[in-house]
Amino acid sequence: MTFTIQTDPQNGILRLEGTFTFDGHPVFKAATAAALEAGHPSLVLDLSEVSYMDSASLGMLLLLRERAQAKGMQVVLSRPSPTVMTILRVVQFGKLFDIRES
Amino acid sequence: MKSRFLSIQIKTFLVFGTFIALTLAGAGWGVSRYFESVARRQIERQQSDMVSLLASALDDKLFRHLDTLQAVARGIPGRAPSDPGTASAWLKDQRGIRALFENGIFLLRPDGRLLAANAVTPPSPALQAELHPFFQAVAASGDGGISEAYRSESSGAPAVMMAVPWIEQSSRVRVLLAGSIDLRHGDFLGAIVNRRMPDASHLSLIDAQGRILMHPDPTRILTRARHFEGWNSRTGLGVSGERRDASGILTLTSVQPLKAVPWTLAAIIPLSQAHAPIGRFRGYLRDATAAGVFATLLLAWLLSHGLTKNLESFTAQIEAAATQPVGQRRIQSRVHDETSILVDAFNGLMASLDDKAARLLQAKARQDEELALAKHVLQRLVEPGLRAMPDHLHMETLQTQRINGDACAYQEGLPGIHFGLICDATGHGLTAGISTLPAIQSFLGMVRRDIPLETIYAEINRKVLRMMPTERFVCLLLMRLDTQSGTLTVLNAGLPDAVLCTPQGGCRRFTSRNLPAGILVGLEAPVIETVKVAPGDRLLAYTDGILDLFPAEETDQVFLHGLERCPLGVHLRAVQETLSLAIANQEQHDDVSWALWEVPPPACVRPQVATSSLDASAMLLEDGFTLALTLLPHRHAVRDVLPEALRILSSHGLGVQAEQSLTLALTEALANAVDHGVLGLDSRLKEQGFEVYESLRNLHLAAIHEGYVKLTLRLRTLPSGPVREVDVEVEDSGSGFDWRAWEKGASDTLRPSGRGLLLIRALTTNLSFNEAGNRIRFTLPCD
Repeated sequence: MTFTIQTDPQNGILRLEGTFTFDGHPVFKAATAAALEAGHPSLVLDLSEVSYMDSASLGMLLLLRERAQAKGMQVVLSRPSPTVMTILRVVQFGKLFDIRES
Repeated sequence: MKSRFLSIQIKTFLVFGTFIALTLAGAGWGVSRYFESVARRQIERQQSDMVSLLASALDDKLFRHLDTLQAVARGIPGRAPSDPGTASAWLKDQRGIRALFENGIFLLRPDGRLLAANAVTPPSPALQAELHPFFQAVAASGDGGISEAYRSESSGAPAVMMAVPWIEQSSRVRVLLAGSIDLRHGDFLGAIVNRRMPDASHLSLIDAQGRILMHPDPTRILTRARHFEGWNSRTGLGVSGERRDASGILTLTSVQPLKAVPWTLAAIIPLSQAHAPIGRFRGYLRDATAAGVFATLLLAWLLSHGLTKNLESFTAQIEAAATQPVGQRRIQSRVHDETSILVDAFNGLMASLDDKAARLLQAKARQDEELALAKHVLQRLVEPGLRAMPDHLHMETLQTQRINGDACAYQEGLPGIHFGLICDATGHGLTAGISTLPAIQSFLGMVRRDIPLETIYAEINRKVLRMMPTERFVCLLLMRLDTQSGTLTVLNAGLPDAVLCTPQGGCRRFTSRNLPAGILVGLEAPVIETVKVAPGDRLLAYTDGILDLFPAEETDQVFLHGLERCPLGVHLRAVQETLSLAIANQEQHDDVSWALWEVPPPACVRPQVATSSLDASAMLLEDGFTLALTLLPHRHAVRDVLPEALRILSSHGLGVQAEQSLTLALTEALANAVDHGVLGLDSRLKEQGFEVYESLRNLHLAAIHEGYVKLTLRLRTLPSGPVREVDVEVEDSGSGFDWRAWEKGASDTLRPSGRGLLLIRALTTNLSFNEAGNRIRFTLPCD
């Protein structure tokens, strides 16, 4: 399954689709680098269309969080799908990220 | 491959061939149409000219006959014969005229009555009456004329009468000189009728009344020819055109009116015959066009072959190159044109691809080697522990072809205390394998000393943070099963729920409430859950790789429900078979690590070290007994000595609380004696990581051949009553330590070392050291 990202640079929103694994690293890196340059107060990752995440993608989220914090930005994980929410809950990412389920 | 599409030569041929064939066919058709049109006009004109000539010849004959009559009439001197006898004799003398007029010559009175005749058959009264108006008209006009056609009474053939007035000098018409012409005679229509005409073609002469005067069919003579009515009267000029005859046959018909008489000469030729030359021309042209098209197609095929042979060769070579081994996929060009550019480009690409393929193969080989190394290191780390795992515990990692960061480790701490670790590091491959190393090393290094799970978790977190980049972290689940006290302690940091099931169907979940290790520097106090367990209880734990194979909500159903009542061996085989089947039926993206632990009955505690293996002596005293143990270098493992000492003391009525305190105090005291006394290890090494400290400790243990630790336990009853105490003395062969400095800084809770002594002082009384600092004494209550 492919992994794609649609960007909404005006609102600082990235809509992720598909299976978010290590293979999506180039796409994710390019999209988030551009979003970080935009300089919005918060960077929203819409995860509603992400069917699965692996540990590598969780690591990418951590790296994004670190880079965003360096720029004074906050990373918001928006509308994670049930499967993704389970994964985020297991790894306790609620302690690190602002997760908005709706 | 060629069978699936048309070759470029065939395509080129079809395009050019079709174009040329259509062009030639169109040109042929156009030429044919043009020449047909020209030929039609030419044939029509020729026929029209022929009819016009024939008509002109007929006119000439009629006028010549009439002029002859007039010349005779005007050239006769004297008076005209006016009586029948004289007239008859005169006529007989006119042999020359008589030869021209086959039916005879006649002299007639001005009123039209017959005066004399020199004829084959004298005209009947009926004929005279028929011609009488004509004669009268000639007499009246004073000029010669030609009558309407009539049927000759002698031959039955059509005939015409010519008449001229014989005008005397007095300008009075004395008689009319007339002659009858047999139109069928050879000089007239006979020559025309006999004219050679194509089959089914004929000439026809029609008078003003529409009667046929000339026709190949004698029966048609002097019958009506309706379909010619109006032709001459309509135009007065010659006309040619296509028309259907009375039989409906399309004909080319040319008509020409005569000048001497109001007759029309017509030539009728069936169109098929008239246009026969056109048909022949069309046939020739068709044959020529076909030959031209064939020759052109042949030329187009040869031309397309010439144009495309290099490209075909290029394609064939590429197809052949695909089957060649890497490094030999090259093609050649024998000409210098665009294909040679393609050939050069292809060879360049192939060279680049070959180079990349070679690099990839090298990279793959290196990756495989690295993975093999990582697997080897991991296995060397965890396999000894896993091999020593008792039968009631099971842990394993099912790896995909590459390492995905999963690992599990087992180590027994103190007797009857089992530690387990399941971890899942971020990412894949070597980096994931590397990420698990600090976790496993820290775990193995710390559990031997029964260090609390929160400390192990904190150490792993610190180590992963220090070694790995931000995006690398380790999800883990730490388990501690104390079979003596019947407690299970679980710390879940980022792994799916571990589930504890009882044989009675009870279920307890250990949900992740802690961050994975390696994410945050300042961890808050971890959530650790400790529960009482009973023999037969089973704990199932696994990494998230299992969620690739089964939905999270199904895992309990698949791996637990109904199986918790089965013997452990059955339960294990069921889980293993289920996993094997699932992995075989679908692509496994992630490793799967899992553990199934059953709480054993107390009898299953590992057998203790035999006393005989120690240099021990026991002596009964009046108020108790003294136990002296000397540990030789090869027996310096605390875990081997301590349980033996506790077993001996327990047999003399050591209480539960005293046993726990004594265990802790003795563990710390013996560890200090071995590590710092005999082995000479510095506590500050722990700041570099417990696994480093543990590794050094193992290295020193393996290398040392001298040294000892003496443990003396003295159980005594106090003189004041039944209360008993244990005096503990631990002496090592080391050079001792500066216990005075330790006592000065004992209140500093942040000091990097000496926490063991603080623990001993908290649990015991009468803590003291000898001067050298290589012997410690303390006392504990027994009950």
